[in-house]
Amino acid sequence: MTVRVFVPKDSAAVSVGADEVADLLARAGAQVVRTGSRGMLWLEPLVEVETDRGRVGYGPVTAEDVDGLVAAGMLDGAADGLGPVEDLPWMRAQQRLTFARVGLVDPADPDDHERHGGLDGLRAALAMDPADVVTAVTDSGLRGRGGAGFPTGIKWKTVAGAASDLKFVCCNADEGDSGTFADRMLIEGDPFTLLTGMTIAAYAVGASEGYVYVRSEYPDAVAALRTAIDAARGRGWLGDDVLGSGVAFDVHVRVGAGAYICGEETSMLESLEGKRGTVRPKPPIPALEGLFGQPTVVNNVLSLASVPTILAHGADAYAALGVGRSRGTQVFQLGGNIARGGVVETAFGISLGELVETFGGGTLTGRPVRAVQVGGPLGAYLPVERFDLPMDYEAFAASGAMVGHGGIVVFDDTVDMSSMARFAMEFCAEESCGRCTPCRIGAVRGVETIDRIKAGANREADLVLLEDLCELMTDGSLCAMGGLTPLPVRSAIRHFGSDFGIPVTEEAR
Amino acid sequence: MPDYHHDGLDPVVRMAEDMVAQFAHRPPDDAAAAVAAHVRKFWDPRMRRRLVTVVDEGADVDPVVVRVAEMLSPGVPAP
Amino acid sequence: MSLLKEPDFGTPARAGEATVEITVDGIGVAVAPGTSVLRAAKDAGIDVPKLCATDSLEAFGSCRLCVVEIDGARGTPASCTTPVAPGMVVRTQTGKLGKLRRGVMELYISDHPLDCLTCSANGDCELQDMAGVTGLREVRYGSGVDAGANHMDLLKDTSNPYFEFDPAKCILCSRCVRACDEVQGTLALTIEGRGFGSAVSPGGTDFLSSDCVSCGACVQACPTATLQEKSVVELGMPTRSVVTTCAYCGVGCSFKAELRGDELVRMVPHKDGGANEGHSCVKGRFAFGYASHPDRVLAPRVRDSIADEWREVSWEEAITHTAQRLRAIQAEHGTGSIGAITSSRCTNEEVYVVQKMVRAAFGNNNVDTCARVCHSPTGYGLSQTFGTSAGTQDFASVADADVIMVIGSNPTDAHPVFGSRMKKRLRQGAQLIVVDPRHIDLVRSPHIEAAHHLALNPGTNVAIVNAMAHVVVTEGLVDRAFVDARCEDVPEWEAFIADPVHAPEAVEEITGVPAADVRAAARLYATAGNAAIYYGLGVTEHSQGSTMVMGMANLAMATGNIGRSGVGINPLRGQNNVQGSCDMGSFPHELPGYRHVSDGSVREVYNELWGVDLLDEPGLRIPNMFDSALDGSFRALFVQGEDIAQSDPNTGHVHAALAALDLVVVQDLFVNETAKFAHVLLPGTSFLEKDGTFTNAERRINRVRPVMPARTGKQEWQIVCEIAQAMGYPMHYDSSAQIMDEIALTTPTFAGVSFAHLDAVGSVQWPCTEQLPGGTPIMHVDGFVRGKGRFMVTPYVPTRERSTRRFPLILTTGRILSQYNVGAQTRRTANVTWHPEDVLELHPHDAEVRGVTDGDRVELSSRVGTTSLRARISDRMPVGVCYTTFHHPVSGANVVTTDNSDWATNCPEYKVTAVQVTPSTAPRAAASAHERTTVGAAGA
Repeated sequence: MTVRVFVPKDSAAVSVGADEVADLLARAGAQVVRTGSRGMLWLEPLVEVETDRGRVGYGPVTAEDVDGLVAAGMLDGAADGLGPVEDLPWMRAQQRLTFARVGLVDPADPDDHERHGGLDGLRAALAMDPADVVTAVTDSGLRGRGGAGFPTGIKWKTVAGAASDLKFVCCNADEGDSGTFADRMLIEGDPFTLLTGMTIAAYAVGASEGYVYVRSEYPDAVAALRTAIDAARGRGWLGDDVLGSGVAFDVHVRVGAGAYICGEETSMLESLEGKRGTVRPKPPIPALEGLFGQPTVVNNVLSLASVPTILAHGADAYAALGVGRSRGTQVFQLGGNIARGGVVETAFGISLGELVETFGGGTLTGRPVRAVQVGGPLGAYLPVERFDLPMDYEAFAASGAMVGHGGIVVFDDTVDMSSMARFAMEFCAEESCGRCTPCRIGAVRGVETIDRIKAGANREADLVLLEDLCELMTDGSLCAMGGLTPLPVRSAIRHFGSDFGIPVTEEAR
Repeated sequence: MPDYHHDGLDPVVRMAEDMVAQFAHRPPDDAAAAVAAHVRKFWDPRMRRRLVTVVDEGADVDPVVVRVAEMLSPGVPAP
Repeated sequence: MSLLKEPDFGTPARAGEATVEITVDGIGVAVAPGTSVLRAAKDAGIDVPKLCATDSLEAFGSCRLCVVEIDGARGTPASCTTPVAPGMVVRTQTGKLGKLRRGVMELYISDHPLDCLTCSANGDCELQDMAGVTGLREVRYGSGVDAGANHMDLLKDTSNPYFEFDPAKCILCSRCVRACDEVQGTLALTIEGRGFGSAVSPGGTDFLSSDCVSCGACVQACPTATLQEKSVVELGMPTRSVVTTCAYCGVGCSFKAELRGDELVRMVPHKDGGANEGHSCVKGRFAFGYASHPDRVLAPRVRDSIADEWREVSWEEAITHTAQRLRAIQAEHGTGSIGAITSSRCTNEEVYVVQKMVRAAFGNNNVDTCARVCHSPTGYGLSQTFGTSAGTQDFASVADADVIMVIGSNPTDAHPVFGSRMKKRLRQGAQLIVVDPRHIDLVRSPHIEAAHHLALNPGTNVAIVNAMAHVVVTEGLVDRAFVDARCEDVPEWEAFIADPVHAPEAVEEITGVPAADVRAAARLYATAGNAAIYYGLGVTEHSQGSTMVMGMANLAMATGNIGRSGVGINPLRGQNNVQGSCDMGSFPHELPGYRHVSDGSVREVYNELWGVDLLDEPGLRIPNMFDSALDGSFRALFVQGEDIAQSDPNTGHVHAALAALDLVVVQDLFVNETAKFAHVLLPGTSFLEKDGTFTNAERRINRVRPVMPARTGKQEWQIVCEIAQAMGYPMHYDSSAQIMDEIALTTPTFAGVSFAHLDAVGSVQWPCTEQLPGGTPIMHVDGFVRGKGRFMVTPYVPTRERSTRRFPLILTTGRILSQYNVGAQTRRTANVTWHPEDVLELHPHDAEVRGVTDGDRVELSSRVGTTSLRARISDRMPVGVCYTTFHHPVSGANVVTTDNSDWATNCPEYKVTAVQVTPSTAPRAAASAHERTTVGAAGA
């Protein structure tokens, strides 16, 4: 009997040669199953061999390694490897709910999905009254994983209560934040979970059409999603009669055109309508007037993908995890200058330092960590002194930072934080939709002002000007793009003032 | 008068025939009465006179137009 | 008098009772639900600083100047995008808000030229105002050599003849883009790029080559000098305003004429104008230069024979000469040998005195108006069915329509400001049915697509409307309650229309429209809620024009679509005062207010007042005048502001008739085509010089105020009165207001109208009586004017005009946006930029079989004449139908149009002429020779 070998098809693995490895293993006689990635990116390509002991891991495996490993008995699980993957400390230390099947299943195989309990949540939901589904999601404490942290159940309740014959569920998969990749990995590794999450949302609010807005930089995710949608339609998981329940729901994929701002929910809706991706003022909120003016659920991939587990195992089980008002798990993404980058799903409350040091293993360069940016390019920079901070929406907000989409980017002690502050403004200038003045002109002026501060001719006045600009952008911008750009800028100045030529004694830490 | 219409019809005859055609769904006398009423309401007396004259002179016209002219004849004011 | 600036409430008004109470800076105010905090503040008398907000456009939330603080709300929301909520407590002036606003202005000014003193918008610039209001004193981001990135070196786009676009001054508020989208509905402008690179763009080209229709909405919306009238750039900011009424189409837009001294700088649409509510089109907004064109005739001219040269004479001599000649001709050929034509271009008062001159001084009823050749069937048809000769709705009604049926009308070209209103409603989701042989823009344009386009064969309107009514009756879609309660002659009509000969299937062969489409359109019209019909000359200018008007009235009555907002039968009038000239008694059979001359009690009113004994017999209509001129019984004609030699059909016939007259008196701005046959030329006044009223297509009586003194030294009504006086009939008014007083005194529907009343209320829609001082926006609400609505039997009688082997194509005519009617005005403006010549649109198949390619010069021949035009191959046309406009004399559409006319009113059949098209063998020179003897075109 042929041995089953699992090789990730996740684009992170493919980028380091997973396809070649899979080819060679197939030629060596293995039955190769392409899966998502377990999220241990430093081990990619991570090959897993099915054995009596479970799936035994080998990684990173390069094309050159394959012959030797096969010769050493890899296909019998005999060669020296990592041991059973599930037993790796990195894996054992996590609480994988949303990512439970990512890396485990074949994302193109609906049977595999169903075998691993993938439909339990949807079946449970369809057996409930829609209003009870909303209540369950509310009770679970699930908050928007895209970054804003708005309670998902409340949003659904608003849409459910809106009177309209036509409602939509829109999934935001325009994952543009630097250092974030969980949405992509979920779609590439377990797209059916997203689809069932959307279907549960649609059932709960009375929507009949769904859209997934995927950034154009994710062609593999788009392909995986389209394959899954076709398969789901074939199985009756989507369509006029979802799982024989009489509920009608279908999902369509729309691909973005390379604008970061289209990850902002109202810009995404504009783009979905075929318009330029610019921000809409709120009110009206999308829950009441969203896509094509109809009540619309707009949720991030991770929010929707967390729903099936909540319905499958109960709101209480999910809410039992976490701290304070941050309930359940978050899928953290470790990147930047880090020894062990990847995805870590764990309950809220874990400290920043534990993620960076314990999971991440410090910097890749081996130099001391100096700064960490949490929550994407609009998130605050935090110094090592803040590693005690628990991953919790409220605790981060109180420290002038944000959890955001859970991306953590690590910098070592060679970083010039004035350049990073400048980059924040530059990023905003590059990606601003241009609709509101503080963001459109302010970001450009921010770059110029930081340049002048760095040159130092009139530093004190320019620092005052920069602070005034940050205040204006924070309070005056139309959306979070301009409104949050001051976060990295101000945090860089506050924690790393010396990089701006501010005497160390004045540094407020 | 030169024939600017290229159909050889006197203008009053053309107009009367156009009207008669509109009332073709009615019996001839009804139609003639309706047309005569319309003509009395909207035509300058000299045009009515001309229609009566042209018909009197034996122009080749629709029989209903002849009837119209007969109806108009007593009331046509002198020039 | 100073420059009139209307208040700007920042966001549009919301309908509904003022039930939401909020407090703004301690002041309580109640507003309608959905109102923005910004507008509520303005209602409370508080101006919140703003740049991207203006009350003609929905809130956009871009500038961030209008930020406020609201108790219990997070942060500093923009007041323009925040709707009021009960009990809201708002603060608009705090230290924090002041700092934010200064910060915003500091950013704006850091990317704006500091050339205020030499800027064309100096003194009329909202950016400048806001810099002052927010107290901006310093721009710390650097200027001059220290300036940061900016757009100040961008080049101007001066391609549009009337306005320029200077991107260096643009603040990216998007008001222009939004105005183009929301107000005009053309969607020609967009923002290209993003972030700091965002730029207003007419679609990647220059303004002139873009989809821009030059309506001026963007210029109007621009808060800076970015989009600026070239006249303001050249002449400077105007200093005073006069509110008046546009003299182009029947929409009747209100404008502020803005002047420096006596020099007109620009025309700005007036927000309080009931017809246009602040919108405009390329004609009214920009094409006023003809009024000061050197071609204007300013002194009277006389000559004995049309072969002679003109002789300039004094007013006294011209008037005396005219009066003597008229009396002499009457002495020789009889009282009825003279007559007059009034103009729908002139004011109600000017028209009234001409018909009075005819009836009282000439002593006959030989007065007609150019409405004869455009909307006379409307008058007849609506009078027969509803009891009054006017459209049933106000323009605002269209906003309540669920189905809009456009028949024989091209509003986006011919009535653009109303067209924009209609498009707005269509974008909101109203359904559209277009009945037109041609694929007009409305059939498919941005965000608009007709549910049904019934592309019928020209001349088969009645067959179509009967087929639709047949569907309504036979499929049980009649509004029985309405019909039973409010209509009469119902059974006769139902029996007639239910006859299978009217079934869509039966008339398919005639109309060329698939029966299923007709059935679907009829069902939609009958069942979708409020259904409104809008129509134009494609209905009236047919040999069955009156029948068609009655057919539409039948359809509306049968489905109960009369007497409330959103429904009705709405003629789109061609000229500014078609409605008014008809109201004023311009028809030979009717005294003012549509009262037949045979009505002794009405005549008695005038006999008493005028001291005359009015004739009780109708006079000659325009076509009858021509026939009578040729038979010798009609000898002299006074023509007020109308170019019959160019605009009336069968040019050869018209010219022969004019040449046969002993005396032609022309009152006009220019030496027009008719003046070539004239013996007396009385210079007229442009609308900028007139003092009076125009009545638009919705019966709205608007004031026309003198913007400048009469350049000829006399008002037109004065000249007419003096001619009557010189003929021995005493006729004198001290002012045009006095004329309106006489109209009000004698005409019941105008009883409550006076200049003082209009000045007080802006405008009124007749009937306006003492009981209804506010006028009547929507007619026949509780009952029809004639009591019961009358169903009329409307048989389809085909036109005499048939295509044959010799003349196998059907020619139909229309208008284009930039030109107006015979072009006398617009051809004397830069509007020729868009439409330098009339072209003949031909279907590719018809062109190919004739060996005609796009741009070729072709001969266009009918039974009555031949002319020459350039061909344009266009799939807007169905096979077998060709199309031209009639704005240029050289094209001569009327050389080929015939004398076929509406059976009831003699309105010419401009819309159906059998023609042949052949590649031109004649060189250009021959065509020029032709221009000297034949001239252009049709209708009003």
